[in-house]
Amino acid sequence: MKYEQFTNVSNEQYIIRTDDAGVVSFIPTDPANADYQAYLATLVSNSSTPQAGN
Amino acid sequence: MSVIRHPNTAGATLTQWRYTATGGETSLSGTDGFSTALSYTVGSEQVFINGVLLERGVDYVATTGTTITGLTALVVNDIATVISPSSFNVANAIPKSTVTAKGDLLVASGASTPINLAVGADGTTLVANSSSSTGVAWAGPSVAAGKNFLINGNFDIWQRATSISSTTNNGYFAADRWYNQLGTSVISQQTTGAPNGARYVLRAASTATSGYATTAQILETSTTAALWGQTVTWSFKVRRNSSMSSSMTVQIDKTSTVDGSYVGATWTNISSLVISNASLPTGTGSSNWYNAILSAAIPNDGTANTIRVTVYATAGLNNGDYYELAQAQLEVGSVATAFSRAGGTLQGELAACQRYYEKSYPLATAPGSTSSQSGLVNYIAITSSAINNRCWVPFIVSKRTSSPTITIWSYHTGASGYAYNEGTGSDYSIGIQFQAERGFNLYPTSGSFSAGQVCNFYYTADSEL
Repeated sequence: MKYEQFTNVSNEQYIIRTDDAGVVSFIPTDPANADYQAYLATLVSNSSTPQAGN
Repeated sequence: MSVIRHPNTAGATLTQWRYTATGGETSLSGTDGFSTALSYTVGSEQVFINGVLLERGVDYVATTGTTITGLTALVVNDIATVISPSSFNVANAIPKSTVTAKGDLLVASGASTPINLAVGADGTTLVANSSSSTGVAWAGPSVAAGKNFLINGNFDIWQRATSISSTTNNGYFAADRWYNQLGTSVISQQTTGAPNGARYVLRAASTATSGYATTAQILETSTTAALWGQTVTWSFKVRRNSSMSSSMTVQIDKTSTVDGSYVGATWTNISSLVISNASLPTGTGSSNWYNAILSAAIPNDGTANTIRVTVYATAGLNNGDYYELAQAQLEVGSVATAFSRAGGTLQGELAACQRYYEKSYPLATAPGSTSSQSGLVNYIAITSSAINNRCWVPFIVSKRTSSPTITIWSYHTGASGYAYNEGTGSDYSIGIQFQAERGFNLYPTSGSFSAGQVCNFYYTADSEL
């Protein structure tokens, strides 16, 4: 998963995410967006390993 | 001995046992002077000495049905009398044998003709039915939109894909609204042996040793609010293949985070259940399912702003192991009733799913495909200035939030992050100018354009938790 910051024509911030399959998506920098929350989580720690049931 | 018959013609009888004391007796038993053996129904007997009624448990003990003990020593010629009723038998009473099994009901097939009505199947309702001999019949189960708080509990909708393989990944990959936490495992849509009332089931299969696959659904706060202060019951059908040796763990979790996401919130377990491996059927028929049922009280104290239901193999999976799920339901109350789609109908269920995720592609076409023109979004370039060739794209269904994640796919190449200019025959990169619950505005960030050129693309919009 790769994240890049993007500023659009209206000078608003987006995160461009490229997932492991190479799919590029636009993630608004809104705390209500779960993908943005996931992006923020990567900033806190990139070492978390998913565990069953967590 | 004498027999006193109740005035009712088929009424109870009272058996009287009478004995003349020889002096010193503290207990009574055996045959009286009228050849009647002492016999009484414990607790229903009455004991008299010289016509004075004694008090049970104080003046005597009567626990065996054939002896009376604990008497104050009798005096010679005292008259001891024991009276006991026979079983009560009222004329025209309904014999208890009329009902034969749990849940049976007494109903009338006519005047003074009560008969047994066997209990109906789970989830059925007793309704008036004039064509039935009893005037009533079991009907249903009825489909009640909104009873089930889990969207796509019947695994009808698979907009993203019908199969996904992952080494280590978490997210919404396959069945709509169902979050998967995957480790060397595959989530896939299956049809074999789907239970009655279902077309599809979800299979989670491991492709390596120590695989895992958690399946969960998160209820947004507006939905969870309807459950605050109430007991809820989560039910679903589950089974495994013969090689899987793990038990299954089922959970209902909560978080105080409003609209908490799987990774963005801290979850606390409310209720859990472990289904033993031996309980899980390994057959593949439509009846080879274990009915998992877990209830929980949802607090109304701010700690349960978002609810999550989860199921996973407790000990992980080995290569080739799999479990399957079907007909998941979360409902108010402590009883699991017959399954019903949250949206009531297939189109209702699809719309409910599209509140969280939608695509412009046909339902059966995976995003990224270039094989179909159906679902293509077209617009006409109006200027040579790339960033001014903008396009407003309305959503099929309003999204849960005003900020869904947007993915754009080139019609021609299937590349994500690009749209396609038919006039130049090339993809161009795009940006999102703004977005809302109702749609988004797209624009080219670069590329060569002329007025009148046709531009096209597909999109997906994701507003999941």
